[in-house]
Order: sequence, then structure tokens, then C-alpha cells
Amino acid sequence: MEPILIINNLIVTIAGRRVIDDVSLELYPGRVTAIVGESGSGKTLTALSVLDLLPETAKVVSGEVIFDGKDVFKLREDEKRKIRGFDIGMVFQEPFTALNPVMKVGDQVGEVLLAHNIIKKKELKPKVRELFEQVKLSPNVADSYPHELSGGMRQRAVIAMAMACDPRVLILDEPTTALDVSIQEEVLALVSSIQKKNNLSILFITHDFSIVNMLANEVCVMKEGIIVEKGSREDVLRSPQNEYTKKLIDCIPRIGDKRDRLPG
Amino acid sequence: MIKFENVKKYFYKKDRFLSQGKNVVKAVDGVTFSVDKGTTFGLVGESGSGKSTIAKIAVGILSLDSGVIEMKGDCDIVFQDPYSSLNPRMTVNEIVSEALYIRGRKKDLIDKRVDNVLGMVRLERAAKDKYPHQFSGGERQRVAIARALVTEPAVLVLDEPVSSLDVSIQAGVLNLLKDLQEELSLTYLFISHDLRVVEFMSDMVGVMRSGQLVEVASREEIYSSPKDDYTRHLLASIPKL
Amino acid sequence: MVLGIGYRFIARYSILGTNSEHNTIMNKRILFGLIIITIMALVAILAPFVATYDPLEMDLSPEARLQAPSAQHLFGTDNLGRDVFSRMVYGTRISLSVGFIAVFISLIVGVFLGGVSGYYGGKVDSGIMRLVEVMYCFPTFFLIMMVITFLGPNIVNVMVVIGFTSWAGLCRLVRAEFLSLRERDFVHSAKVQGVSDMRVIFRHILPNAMAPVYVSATLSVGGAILVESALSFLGLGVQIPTASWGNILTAGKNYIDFAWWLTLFPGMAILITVLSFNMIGEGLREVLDPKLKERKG
Repeated sequence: MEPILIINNLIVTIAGRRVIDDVSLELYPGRVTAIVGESGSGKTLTALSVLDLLPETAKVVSGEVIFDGKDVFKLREDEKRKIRGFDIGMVFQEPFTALNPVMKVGDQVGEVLLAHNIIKKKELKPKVRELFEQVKLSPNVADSYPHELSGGMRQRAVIAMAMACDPRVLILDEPTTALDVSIQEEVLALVSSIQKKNNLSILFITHDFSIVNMLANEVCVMKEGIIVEKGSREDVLRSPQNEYTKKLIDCIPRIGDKRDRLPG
Repeated sequence: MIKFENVKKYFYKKDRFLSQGKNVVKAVDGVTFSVDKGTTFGLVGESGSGKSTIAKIAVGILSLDSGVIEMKGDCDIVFQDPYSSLNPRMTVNEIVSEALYIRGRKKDLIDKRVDNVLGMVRLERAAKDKYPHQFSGGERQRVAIARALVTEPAVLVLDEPVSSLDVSIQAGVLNLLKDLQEELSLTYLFISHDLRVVEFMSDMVGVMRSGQLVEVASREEIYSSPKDDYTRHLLASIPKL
Repeated sequence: MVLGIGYRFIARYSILGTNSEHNTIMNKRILFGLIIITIMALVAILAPFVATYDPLEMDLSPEARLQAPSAQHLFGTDNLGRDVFSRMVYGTRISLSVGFIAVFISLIVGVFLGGVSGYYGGKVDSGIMRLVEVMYCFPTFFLIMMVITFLGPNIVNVMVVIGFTSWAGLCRLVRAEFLSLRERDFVHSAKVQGVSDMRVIFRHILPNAMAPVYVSATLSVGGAILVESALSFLGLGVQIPTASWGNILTAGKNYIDFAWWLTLFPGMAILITVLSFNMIGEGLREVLDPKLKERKG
């Protein structure tokens, strides 16, 4: 199978320091690739590089990001804009900041549809309704403002927005880190079902190996800008080769854990 | 060591102009529990459950509306975010020694004690003259723990002490807290949203929801045979590794 | 020992501080402003050496009066034959000292009232805030004029009155900082450890509240200099024959048709000085305000 998204030997520096250091990874159609790492590992920057949304202080030294056979860095600004949101949807950690506080969430989802000229104005309402149903939100929620929603509902609305243009790739950057555990589980289950139903390719950024276990097919473990281990979920989780990967997996307490001290 | 009896704390929202509706938030609504000396009571709950309000009441940052709190010995607190819990304009030495300094202890005794607690939390002596921003998150949390220990309190309230730390750092801080408890026979009130961390740390566990304790039991009972539906729901939500 | 205390004081209250967020406190605007103000300050301090003539020495002979700028009289002479350059050099003393001292007074009043208001809240806060609103309601300049008329115009009165009428903005600013800082965990922690209110205010909160205060105070210096010039222009400030930029302007306004140097030079001096302070203030705001800083990935 041909990968839908390839990152080739990407090197990015900020103020002379390599924040992404020779990163290569592939995302296959209908598969979930997880990038796991702690803060400062470069996992979020790697995700942003896919959309060429790196902060201005960052410099791409070498490498390429190939989506659909084309190098994203070499595209014109309008071509990039077409990819963002249309071909590749993105969901960030904090659902509140991703939504405009003075706009009804339904209108915000509709705005994405209109911006990409996907549908006519009169078809808007049913389409928004359909999107909300897809993320298991009551269509009435469309008339609410972000502050009237709980964290979990907001994140669902953001996912609906990301899904609005029926993208082929979804990038999720720690989408559940700001949520309570019980809500986290619901949102992850939702992501999983949408992925299967739409045969989506997902790039999932997280620090939590238990989420990797739930969702991912392939895993990249990042540390200080470098991919230290890459492989299938089973290989990386059950028989990690890298010391850092082992430490990350072992240092999480588990239910029924009989250990008196954690490694680390 | 610690005893909470039917403790209540309500917050009253100011009436908004031309708006009606709820304006009482029952943050803590009749909470009763006790903690034995040298043990850890884990308080677990989701956001808005009132667990942090209990931490603030325990150390007197918030007053209580009704009920009784008994505490034997001094009590200090470690907060969640070591970036906001340390004064950015004070050196580690100033931060850790302040509680002794304001009590008028002699300088050489203060110096000795500060060296002592910094050793306990495994920080180098050279740390004394540095400022908080020169440390990593884990090291900052160690400074916060050293500050809390400097007056030799019997009880420590730990309000999500590892929630803002990376997992690999989290393990080190949890281990350290366990070591300190054994060395100093400290009593912990350990507050967290993470059931896995609470299980690792606690002897007794209380599950909070909307200001009330829905279940209090030993760690084994909570995690192997939970009685309350909400406890079960929470346990089922934990992603498995 | 003295050095140690000095160092700690700087670490605690200065902009240079020790906060990693401000790894640089320099930018072009601050540098430009500082250079101009430093030159001005040197001129003010070394006035007797910089001035080429006695600023009060008159020469009423017709050929000495209203001379255009020349090598002998850089900025020309005024209607009484006095050297304008020398008068302006001495005027720098007045303007800068009024600016700094007036702002210093308003800083003390504003920081103290704002701090108390923000820290204690409740009735104290309401009381102080009503007072602030009253201060805001007065047209400040007319209030200053009125008070000066009662107290008599002299430089000390001008400083004190400007100081005591311009603290309201600072007070609000400091109050807002205190309101947010008093909920920070390091403040909670200090209280749990039994630190006294006064120590919490001065040791924990105030040092962390200073950044916006410096910005506002720097901008206020320019404002105070403007007010002093305006008062002197109206004859309510520094009294003749003592020179100030404002009263040189007053004298010049009658001859503006043919003696442009009498209005141009003091006008430019006021403009450049106020501009420099504003540039330092804006520059500081840029450096100190994290919201204006571009986020670094």
C-alpha cells in the first residue's frame, strides 16, 4: 500500500537548536500512526510541519513532507490552504481556544463548509446536523455558544469541524489531555468509530501509551526531536527495544500494580 | 491525624444582572473522612468534584461553612503547578527558608535545615542560589516539597502534585513522596484525578463527585470490588495498557 | 554586604530581575529613548559646565536682543538679551526633575493604595476605588491649575500637585495585578506557612507586579513633563526669571513672527523628551508583556 503522507528526513531548527532531527515517518490510508513523546520531544512541531504551520521562529533546514505525491513545503499558499482543513483536518488539545467564543458552534462548523465551497447555503443546515450526529452531539447543540458546552462536547464540536470537509487525514494533537478520564474514553471511542467508518488516516499525537494501545496501528516514539523507536503497536508496546521507550511504558502506574516503587 | 466531619463549603455566585438560575455551587457538601498517622488518603474525582476545595480547606486557604476539621500537628501543602507555586523572584534558598526566617530562627540553624531538606528531596546544594526558572518541572516540584517539609509538618496535603509533570518525571516524584513518608512517617492527603496514581500512592481512597464522597474504602476494596456505580464507571474509563 | 543587599534589591524589584521570560530587556526603541534621556540627564546635572552663558544675565542693548542663532548664541537670544541655549540647559533640570519627582510621588501613592485595594478587597477596595473614580472625574489639568493658584506657583508645589493628582491610573493597574497575583499558588503557599500580610505584599506580590508599573510610570514621566511645561507656559509653573522650557515658550510666543528660535527650540526639546520617555515605555511594554510577545514553539 502507498502511504498517503510521508515525512522524509525532516530537520527543523529553532534558534539554532534542532527541534526536529531527521524525522521520517509514513501514514498509510485507513491507519492510525501515533507519535508518542514527552514535552519538548518535538511531537507537536512534527504535526504542525505536515500543514506547514510551524511557528515563524522555526526553520526547515532540510527534508520534505509529501502529501498526495506533492511536497507540502513547495506548494503555493492557496494550495496549502486548500489542503488545510479540506484534505487534512486538525484537532488541538484545548477545545476552548479552538472555538470562537462569540459564534454559535453550528455556525462555526458551517463556516468551514462554506469557506471551502463544498455546499450551497440552503443545504448547510442539514449537513451541519449530519456532522453533529456523526460526533454524537444533539443537533440542538449547533445553536449553543462554546461556553455553554462541557469540555467533552466542545471537543466533539471541534472534531465535527475538522470532519466537515470529509478529510482524508486527521491530525489529533493530545485531543483528550484537557478532559476528564470518563470523557476522554468517550471521545477516544468516537475517534475510533469515525476512523473505521470513514476509513480515515489519523496522525495521533500523545504522551500516553495507554491511548496508543487503544487506537494506534503504528507508533513512533520521539525524544528531543529524534524518533528513538518506530514500529507496529504490538512490537513497540509488548517488546520495546529502546531504553527510553521501556522507561516510558514502565513508569506509568497501572491498576492492580503491585510495584512499591516505579522505575525512573 | 486528620479528621473531616460533615464539612461543607458553598460558593455563592453574584447575581448576574437580569439573570435567574442557580447561584449556589455546593463545592463541598457534607464530607466526612479521617486519615491515620503515617498513611495516605487518596482523594480522587473529576474536575469540579470539589477535591481541590478540600485541599484548600485543609490548609486554611479557604474557610469552611460548617462542619469540623481536626488536625494533629502542622500541615503544609504542595500544589499542582510548580510554575505558579514558586515565587519567580526568590532563590530556592529564600523560598525554602522563608517559613523558618519569619519565625526568627537563627541563621546557622536555618542554613543547616535548608541543606537538610534539599538533601531529602535529592537536590544539589548548588540549587540554593538558583531561581525557579533555572529548573525543570520535576526539580521545581522537589523545591516545593522541600519548602513544605522545612517546618517538619506532620501532615502534607498534595494537590495533584504530579499532574503537570511528564510521565517519566512523575514516577520520580511519586517514588520520592513514598520514600519521604517512610523516613518521616508523614501523613498524606493525596488529591488526584488519576486513578492509577491514586492506587499507587494510597492506603485509603475516597471517590468524590459533585462535592460528596460517594465511596470511601481501602485501596484493595475500591480497585477490586468497588461498591458505587460512579466508582465503577471511573475505573472502566481508564485506558488499559 | 552593601553590594549583596543592593544586588538582592535589584533582583527583587528591578526590570532586569531574574525572570527567564525577560531574557532581553533591550530593543531599539528602549535604546534610542535611553540614549536621549541619558544625554538630557547629563546636560541637567552638568548644567553650569554645559551652559555657555549665565541664563539670567540680561543684555538690554538693542543689538543683543532677539539675536538669531549664531556661533556665539547657538539658539539665539531672547527679548531680554539672554542666551536661549543656556536658559534651555537650565530648563532641562526643571523638566526632568519635575517629571521624575512627580511620577515618584504618584508611584508611591498609586502602588500603596492599589496594593492595599487589590490585596484586601472588600470594603477597603470599594472605598479606594470610589476615590479613584472621583480622581478620574476631575479634569486633572484644571484641578492642578486650581490647586496651584491656591498654593502659589513654585516648582515644589508643581511636583507635589502633579504627583498627587496622577496616581489613579497606576492605582488601578497595581490593583489589577494584585487581584490576579493574590490567587497564585506561591501566595497561597506563603500564607499557609504563616507569612504576614505585609511580607506577602512586599516580598511576594509587589516584585511580580512591577513590570506594568514600570511601563506606566515611564509613560507618565513624559506626561508630567508636558503638564509642567503647560503650567509654566500659563505662568502657573516655574516663575520667571528662572528658566523652564514652558516659560521660554511663553516669552517666545509674542515674537513668533520673526524670532522663530524662541519657540522652535523649547518646543523641540519638549517633543523629543516626551517622545523618548514614550518610546522607552512602549519598548518596555513590548519586552515585558508576554501577551505581545510572539509565541515560541
